[in-house]
Amino acid sequence: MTRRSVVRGAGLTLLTAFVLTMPYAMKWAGSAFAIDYGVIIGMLVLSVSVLGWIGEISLAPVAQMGFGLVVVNLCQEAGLPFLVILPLVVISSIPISLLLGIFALRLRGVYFAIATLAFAYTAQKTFFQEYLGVQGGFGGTDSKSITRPAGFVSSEKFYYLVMGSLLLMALICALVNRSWIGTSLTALRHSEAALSVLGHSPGAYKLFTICLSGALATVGGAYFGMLQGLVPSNYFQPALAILYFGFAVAGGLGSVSGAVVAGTAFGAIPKYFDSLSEGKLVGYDLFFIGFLSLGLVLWAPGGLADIGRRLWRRLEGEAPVPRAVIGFEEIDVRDSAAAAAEEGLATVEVP
Amino acid sequence: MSDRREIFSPEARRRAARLMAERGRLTRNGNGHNGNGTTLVLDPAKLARFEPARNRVAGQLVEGALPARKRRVERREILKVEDLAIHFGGVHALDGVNLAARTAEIAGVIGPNGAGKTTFFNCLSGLLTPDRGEITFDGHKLNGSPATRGRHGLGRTFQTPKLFGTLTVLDNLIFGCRTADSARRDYVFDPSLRRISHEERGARIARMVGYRGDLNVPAGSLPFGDLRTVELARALCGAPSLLMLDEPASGLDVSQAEDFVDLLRKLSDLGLSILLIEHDMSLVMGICDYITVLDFGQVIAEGTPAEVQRNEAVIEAYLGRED
Repeated sequence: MTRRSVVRGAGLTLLTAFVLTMPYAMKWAGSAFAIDYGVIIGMLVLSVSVLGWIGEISLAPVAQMGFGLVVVNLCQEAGLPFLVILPLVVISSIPISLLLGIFALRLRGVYFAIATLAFAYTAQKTFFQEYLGVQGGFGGTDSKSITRPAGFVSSEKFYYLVMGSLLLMALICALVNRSWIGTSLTALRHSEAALSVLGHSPGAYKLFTICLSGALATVGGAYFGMLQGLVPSNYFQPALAILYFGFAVAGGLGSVSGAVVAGTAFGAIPKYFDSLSEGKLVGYDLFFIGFLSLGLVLWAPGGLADIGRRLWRRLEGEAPVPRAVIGFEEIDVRDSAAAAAEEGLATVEVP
Repeated sequence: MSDRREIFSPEARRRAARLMAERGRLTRNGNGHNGNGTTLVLDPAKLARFEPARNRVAGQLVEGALPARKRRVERREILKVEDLAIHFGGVHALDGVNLAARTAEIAGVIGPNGAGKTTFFNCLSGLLTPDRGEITFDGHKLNGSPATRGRHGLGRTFQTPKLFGTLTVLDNLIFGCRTADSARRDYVFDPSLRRISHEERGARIARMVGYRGDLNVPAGSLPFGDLRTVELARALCGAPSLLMLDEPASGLDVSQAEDFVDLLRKLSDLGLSILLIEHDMSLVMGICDYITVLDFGQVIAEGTPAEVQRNEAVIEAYLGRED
């Protein structure tokens, strides 16, 4: 047995044990509700991180999350079983995602981010305030809260449902990223123009990624509704998307495992923090999380994903990760005398 | 007076001669000009180096991949551009440009910096939408996205190579191969390529264009000359009918440039239509069958290399006149 296989086996065993026992192992710090909340935030952060594959930032995941919650409410009112509700939630995310996708086809970078923020505010101010109200009502005083699926009513059991879903989402994302689609998305980040003149449609790849991201956020919203029961509209403040984006950066933007870990940890820690301080430091949780994220990003710009990769290689006894080629810097050597000199080519200054 | 064919400033000639003698290498912009229309260095020795490519039989020049026997190719008009115009604010980047390209021919587009050459390519490939004008490609009106045009057989390279840096060289090439297969396109220059796997096809085309390096290294780690050749290979992997090359020889050393010229001539002989932007006048005059000269977005001259070199308007605006 090689050291590598031993380390991998031990690592996988420890990770599995940790995941399986988390709600009980963390009882000293607070109830299982905290870790349930963290796992759902992990879904949101994964949704944001996936958009990093096309080099875009969306501030609409919180709005998409809200739509998921509304769909669950409607489906439960219609008496549909959980196994039918979940696929419906995924399908219902597609129209919203396509709407956002239209922005992505026209706008890039900060313009796309602002457009998604505008979309989120519009949804919050109109649809959510009207539908959810300040009490999370679905109908004012006659409100009927969203229920958890049968068999997963307790917070501990609900944890296994949401964690299983998160791991499934992460697996799907990892498979997509390793497929030809992932390679095409990498190419898209390098040069949209080059990819398009080669006969590949950047728009199709963008729409696919936005739909994938939207589905993750919407399913996250559905679980959020099940966790909370009644959810007031202020839970979907669009500005929260900036926080989740920060988590995604701290996890390593574009990284599946980094997003899962960062989202779960940064989502759960404040809840445990509140519990441990017996509510005395409520309100300071995000301050500490912000401080932690800032330090992490300054120390390791590649985020948790980068730290994890380096640690893993060290445990396996491999050489440190060589400096990655991050992007391809476009250099016009015709304007660079230094580059010409390096290649031994002469340059002539023409008068 | 010297035996040079063209007119150039004595100072530029002295500098170019000195540098070329010192380095023994091709000067990067030694044959170009600075956009002010003051100099042109056409060295007969360099011209002679490129000219034999016209007369060589296809199959002799590049090892391996291309068919050794010259096939009978039909010469027909593949691209027709009529009245193409685009403006950016008050700048008319292209203003009523007409151009035609034929199969198995190399057409050159030259002109001072800012003449609109790259803008012209961007309009053809769909990266820019012209204000007016009509483009007919292979008998059909050309419109739609760049991807659609790429699938219809319009391949191109960029002034600054745009390879996907973190992907391997082979992955870069496979992008082209996938398009060729999904669009059911045959390789004009070697129909047998369709029958082999993407990996093998990419490797063969890479060797054909003269790339001798590792196919599994990240493209971003390649030296500049290899970036050019790999980008050319990637464009060829897409099985284009018309290949548009934007300053393909800049950054190549003498031997690479010679191989490159031979390759272009050979591809052209096999039926591929090539549209070329290049500042190296020796190269352009040496291999192009037809040249269009742009200045301030307008065609100021067109014709064979010999006709263009004699054209007064071209000498005035681009080639330059001796003091």
